Amino acid sequence: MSENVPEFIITRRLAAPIERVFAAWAEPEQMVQWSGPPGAKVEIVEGEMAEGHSTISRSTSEQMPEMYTLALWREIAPHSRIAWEQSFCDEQGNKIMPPFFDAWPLTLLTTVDFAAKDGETEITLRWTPIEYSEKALAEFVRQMAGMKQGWGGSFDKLDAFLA
Amino acid sequence: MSDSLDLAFAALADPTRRAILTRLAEGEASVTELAQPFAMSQPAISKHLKVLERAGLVETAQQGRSRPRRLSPQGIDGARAFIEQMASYWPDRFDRLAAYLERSGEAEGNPNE
Repeated sequence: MSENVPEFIITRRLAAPIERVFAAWAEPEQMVQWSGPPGAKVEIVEGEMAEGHSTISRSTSEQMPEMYTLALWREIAPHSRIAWEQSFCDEQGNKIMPPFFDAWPLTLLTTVDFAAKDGETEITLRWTPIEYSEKALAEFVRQMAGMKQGWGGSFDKLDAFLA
Repeated sequence: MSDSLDLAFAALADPTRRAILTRLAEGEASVTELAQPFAMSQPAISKHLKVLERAGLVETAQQGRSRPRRLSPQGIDGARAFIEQMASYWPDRFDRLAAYLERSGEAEGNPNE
């Protein structure tokens, strides 16, 4: 999707049919049940989870400060793909850096592809920085470097930054 | 540690205080400099700084009369270690998604589906 930046890719096979897995992502009342930080309660406080629309969601937990996430839903294709632009934001939906990160991509495009496999479901998730400083890109790669999963895209910009 | 983390996260619940930390991440600054980007009085900023200091996130450098504020490396490290979990962001969520699917599958009388 993006030719110029590193793209983080992770896959997972889930023991449930594609209809149920897709619904767990695409139906807001299901999505909030598992998609927040560990131990957090997530609720959509504004907007509609529909193509071309944005949502602001809030996560609250005992251990963490209240955090808000902005999502712009680019594509919601039943049983096939969900793609959205994701940023940390304030209560009003203004994009912000997450607490303690002085460098993190301001906006990440998340693309999830769903594939049916023998009654189960394989999901492939790609995380692509789309609003970022070079420093943020370097931090993104540093954070994700411990993962054994693959990378796609190109490291050209980062190479230029690190050179 | 967990008490100081509590204080740190409570301090972080406020957007102005997060913005102050972001500014201080670029380097130390005086109260006047910190007040500039906000539509706030210096006493109001000082109040926020006190919360951040009590949480161990910010400290005062003694430089003659100017007393600039700066990030406290120790406090920041503690909270950062806790929060820097972006590498496990999706694996964590996939684990919980799998658990959710299992739970809801059983509720539907649809075990292991």
